[in-house]
Amino acid sequence: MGNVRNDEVILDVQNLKTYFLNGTKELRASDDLSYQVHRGECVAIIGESGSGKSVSALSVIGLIPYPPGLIVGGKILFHGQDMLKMSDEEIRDIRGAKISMIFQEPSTALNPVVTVGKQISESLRIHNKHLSKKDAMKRAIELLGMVNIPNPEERAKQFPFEFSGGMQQRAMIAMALSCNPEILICDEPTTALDVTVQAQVLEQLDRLRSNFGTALIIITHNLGIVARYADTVKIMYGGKIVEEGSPENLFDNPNHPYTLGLIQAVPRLDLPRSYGLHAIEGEPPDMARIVPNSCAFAQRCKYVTDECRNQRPSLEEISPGHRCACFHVDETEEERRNLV
Amino acid sequence: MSKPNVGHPTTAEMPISGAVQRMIDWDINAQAGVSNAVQEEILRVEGLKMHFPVTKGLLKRQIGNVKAVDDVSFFIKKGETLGIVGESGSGKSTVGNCIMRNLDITSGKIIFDGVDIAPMKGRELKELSKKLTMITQDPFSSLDPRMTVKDSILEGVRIHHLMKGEGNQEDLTKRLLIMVGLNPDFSDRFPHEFSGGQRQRISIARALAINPSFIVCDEIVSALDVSIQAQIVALMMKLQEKLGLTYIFIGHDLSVVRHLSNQVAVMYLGKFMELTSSDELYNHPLHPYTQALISAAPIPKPRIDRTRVRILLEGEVPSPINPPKGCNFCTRCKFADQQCKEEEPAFTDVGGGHMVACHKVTGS
Repeated sequence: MGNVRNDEVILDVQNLKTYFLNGTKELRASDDLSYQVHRGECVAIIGESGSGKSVSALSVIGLIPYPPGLIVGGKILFHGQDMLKMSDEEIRDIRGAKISMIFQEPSTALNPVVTVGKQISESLRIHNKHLSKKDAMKRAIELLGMVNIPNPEERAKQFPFEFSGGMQQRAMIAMALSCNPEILICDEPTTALDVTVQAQVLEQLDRLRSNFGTALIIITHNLGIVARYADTVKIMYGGKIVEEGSPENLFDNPNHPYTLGLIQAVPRLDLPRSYGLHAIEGEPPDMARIVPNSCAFAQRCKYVTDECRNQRPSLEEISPGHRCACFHVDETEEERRNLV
Repeated sequence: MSKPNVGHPTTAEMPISGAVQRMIDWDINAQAGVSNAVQEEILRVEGLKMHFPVTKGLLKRQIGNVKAVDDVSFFIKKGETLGIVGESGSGKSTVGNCIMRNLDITSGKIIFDGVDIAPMKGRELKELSKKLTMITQDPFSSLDPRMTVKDSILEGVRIHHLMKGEGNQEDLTKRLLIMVGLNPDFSDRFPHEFSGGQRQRISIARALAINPSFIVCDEIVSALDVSIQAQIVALMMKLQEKLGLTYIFIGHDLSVVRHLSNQVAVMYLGKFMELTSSDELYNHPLHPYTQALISAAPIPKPRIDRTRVRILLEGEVPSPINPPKGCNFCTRCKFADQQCKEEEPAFTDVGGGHMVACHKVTGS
């Protein structure tokens, strides 16, 4: 793994601020968010519901509904060009062709009354006007074969309901790949799937990355799938990145109290049952309740002090490539050492 | 009713009154003595079959059966938990629904507390529902949006006339809310004012209200966030310890199910493939399907996960209308040979109560 990755930055998100205006309140779904994606890299964004993880990716391809959503600041540089300054037409040329996306529920993302082959060839013809219907269908069948769907010729003539969940998701991947995108955004790609099918889909995505150098942005709440495939992991909480680094950094040496809590909250298959589970107290982040200029995690954090409530910690480098936003990194030392 | 739905109430927001605080203290003292040391059998299922007819055409001609549960046998000791894991369509929820008698089973025995409940009807079933209850997956659809928390919780109590008097019922609601970790003053609110985790706690309080001895938990944490999942798992374990409850815990996430259960059964296409203690299942999985399930479940530790051998299962689960002849798993098993395709393996004990249905294990 990793051999396809190089240092060319294809996506550079700088200080992105996406707010949702709810009456007089503003919800900061993505608050001063910065991240980079290199060619062939797999970036994982982890967070609970309401952490802003999906918004951070939807902003990139201009799919934030306005109103109530609004990108109020920041830059999204795709190959050095700011996508926020582009016209709708220019963005349309990028979206689906160079940056593509797959969603959580494949059964709702596919059109139920159009055959799978036709749906894939449609997306091909939108981005390549000179392609004939016949050629597009041929390419669609090729793509279905590429994502390991048996009998692609027959399957292309079928409707989504004739596909199982895993096959629907692979058809979505085929569609997303139809224009050889440079970045594939996967929003909870395996959440609706069974464990064994989940493994198949992830292997599929990883294979595409090594074969075509497609960069992946995986948005998920599942720490496990991230450990194996990601090059870089960002942990989000309340619209902010609270810790980022390589999976080794984050899982073996987590510094932020939230990361520590999250890791200990997941039951581990490889440990005996007697090994306890540590829940994080409180409820998932609620944007409406987070005070600006405070640490988003302050309400649930056991290390919280007045400093956390009145000031927002910035991401500080702990070791090369590993950054954490917390005033109390030193105090988490003991908990960190007790991790198994 | 309080202010409109802006965010979810937190427990810290509302001061707990003195009377209620005393109730909490009483509650802890009163419950601490309950032990689950008696290891008697509470439920025994023998040869359970649940077949659903498949019909075709205007005259609803029966053209076959979906064998959702096909010849399943097991028992549970009082105060213990049996976990059932399986992929979607494996029949794990149907087993739960059969035990709850939400379904009329095709054949088999379900012996609960020494009585076969399978042939029960009408009044007997209503009596049974005082002891057996179920918590379901989706906390958003399992609570009536137009009933207050109190009414939802007390529904079972009122149906069975278990408690009289408005004051007593109010007390019970408050005690239950405290037990599941919610603020007792929430009892007049409506479900939409709560988050997913809080709603699941209300569902648990509702199940506990009739003072059952047995709870079927069907995917109760699947819809929740990771950090909330751990809270609910911890709550269920605490309640079991305090109240001596017996659970069937149904789920698709092996690591969660294993954490809660004493015994874990692995289900595939309506049959139990393997059944053993939860630590044994991870340390010595014998069935090829169990091995594949374990290897596919990721471990959130890159150092460990990247060195594990991953068994990728090819293909899809066959249709339960037309299951393969012989072993149900033979179409996806890499060890399958002629015997597996023709002869159905028996579910046998290979030592120490480790049950498995595989020719390759029991043969050698």
